[in-house]
Amino acid sequence: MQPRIPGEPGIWLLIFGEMTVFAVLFASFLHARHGDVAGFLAGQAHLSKGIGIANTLLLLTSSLFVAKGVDMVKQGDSIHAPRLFAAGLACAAGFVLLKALEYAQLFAEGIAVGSHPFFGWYFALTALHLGHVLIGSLLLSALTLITRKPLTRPLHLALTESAGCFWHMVDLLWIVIFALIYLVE
Amino acid sequence: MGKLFADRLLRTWVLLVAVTLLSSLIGGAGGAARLGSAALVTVLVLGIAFAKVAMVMFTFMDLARAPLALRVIAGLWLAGALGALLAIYFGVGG
Amino acid sequence: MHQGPNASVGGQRFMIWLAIAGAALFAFAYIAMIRFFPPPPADLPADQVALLYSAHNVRFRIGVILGLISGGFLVPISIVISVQMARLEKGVPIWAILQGVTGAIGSIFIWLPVLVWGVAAFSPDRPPELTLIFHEFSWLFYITTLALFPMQLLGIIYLCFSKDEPDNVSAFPRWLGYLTAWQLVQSFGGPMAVLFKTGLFSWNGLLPFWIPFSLFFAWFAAICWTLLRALRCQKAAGA
Repeated sequence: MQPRIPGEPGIWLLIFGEMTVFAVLFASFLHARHGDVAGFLAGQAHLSKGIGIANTLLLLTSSLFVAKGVDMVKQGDSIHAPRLFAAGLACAAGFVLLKALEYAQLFAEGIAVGSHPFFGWYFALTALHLGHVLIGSLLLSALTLITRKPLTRPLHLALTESAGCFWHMVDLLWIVIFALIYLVE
Repeated sequence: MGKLFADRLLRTWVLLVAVTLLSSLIGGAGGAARLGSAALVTVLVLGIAFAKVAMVMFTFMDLARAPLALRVIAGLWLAGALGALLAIYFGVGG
Repeated sequence: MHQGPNASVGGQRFMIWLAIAGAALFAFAYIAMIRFFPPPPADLPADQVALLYSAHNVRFRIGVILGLISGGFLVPISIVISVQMARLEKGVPIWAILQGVTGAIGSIFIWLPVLVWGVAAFSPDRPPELTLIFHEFSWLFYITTLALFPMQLLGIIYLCFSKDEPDNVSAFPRWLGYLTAWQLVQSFGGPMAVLFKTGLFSWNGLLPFWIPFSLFFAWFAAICWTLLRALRCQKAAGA
């Protein structure tokens, strides 16, 4: 099969650029943790693992919906595509809600950015990621609206696939954040 | 063809959910006590996370069918990030 | 092909080179005279902050003058970008207006901090704590540009993605759209500097400073290049 670039070449500049920035952040997080393992473990104990797991599952599921939605767009199915993107968007909303709940729980315990370096990292990484979730949600909202009509122009197909790949990046970054913040011992 | 591809997506999702649950059993509060070694927990948890990232990249992002250059970049990111994280965890280089 | 406002190619070229010259002079003033590159750590104690302004005070203040002469360089380039955007829009060019207005007001994030550095350096013998206030105000102002830059970038992104075929006469190729979009995404790291005094998220850290500054530099160079290329083609086409 002839190789093809998903979306457009330009989106991969953005995606791998973002992923490299995040990789530096991940490495710096573990480096900071290396200097204070006990403190970071104590901080980790304050987090709700259940919320972390639920959020991971929500993003994985949204990625599935979005991947299927992009597939439907390629097949010219303007009935199912917007529904799939809307389902992905609903998962994203669930993610944001759970994240807000977790922040609220921590604030109720009197924990904030300055409480301990672990929480500085926790809030910085998750807030930065949350920003990406919100940008991605705007893209998914646009896809939900646009794909109600069959997309025929190659440009629109390429942009749809590019937006989908951005959303998968949001999912993929969270997978690593989840492992680093909630699971590493 | 379209149906086959769709099934591939669903299969990947089932696998992703399964390993997510597995890794959350291994890692997190008290995981070291269950497995006997914090280092083992970390290696498993990070290994699973990067396997998941690879699945998202190659199936959901459809990089499996992308030109070689793009797949090489993805592979370099995976290897570089995982390698760096493990090296830092084990305190290589101070 | 719809033709928007027919501004002179020579005038637009002049404004681009004015912006490039301004950016070069600003870089010289900022790096060589003011010497805030790399930025001073955000957790520096007051007496050391005061020393930043009182040592080499005259060189610093001349740097401020040069920075003020050149700090408006974002205005002419924003105007040319708007003219080129308006060329591609139908009816009232709202994206071009949004870009031009936010770019022109956004230049305040470049020259106003320089003015405040001048205020901080103006009385080297005042109590260090007072200088610290000006210092922190100017640095957070310099770093957290979020109020305007994302809106400036939005219209450019839209125009880069709105055309089917890359058009040689257009200054907005698709790849510029992705570069601009990346800059937009990364601009959200800046305000984190309000929350952190050390590490990657402080005003001298990776996210608020190094990445946005590198991306801004790359973006500025890229858009100057695409604008000059487009103007060359437009002149040849007699547009």
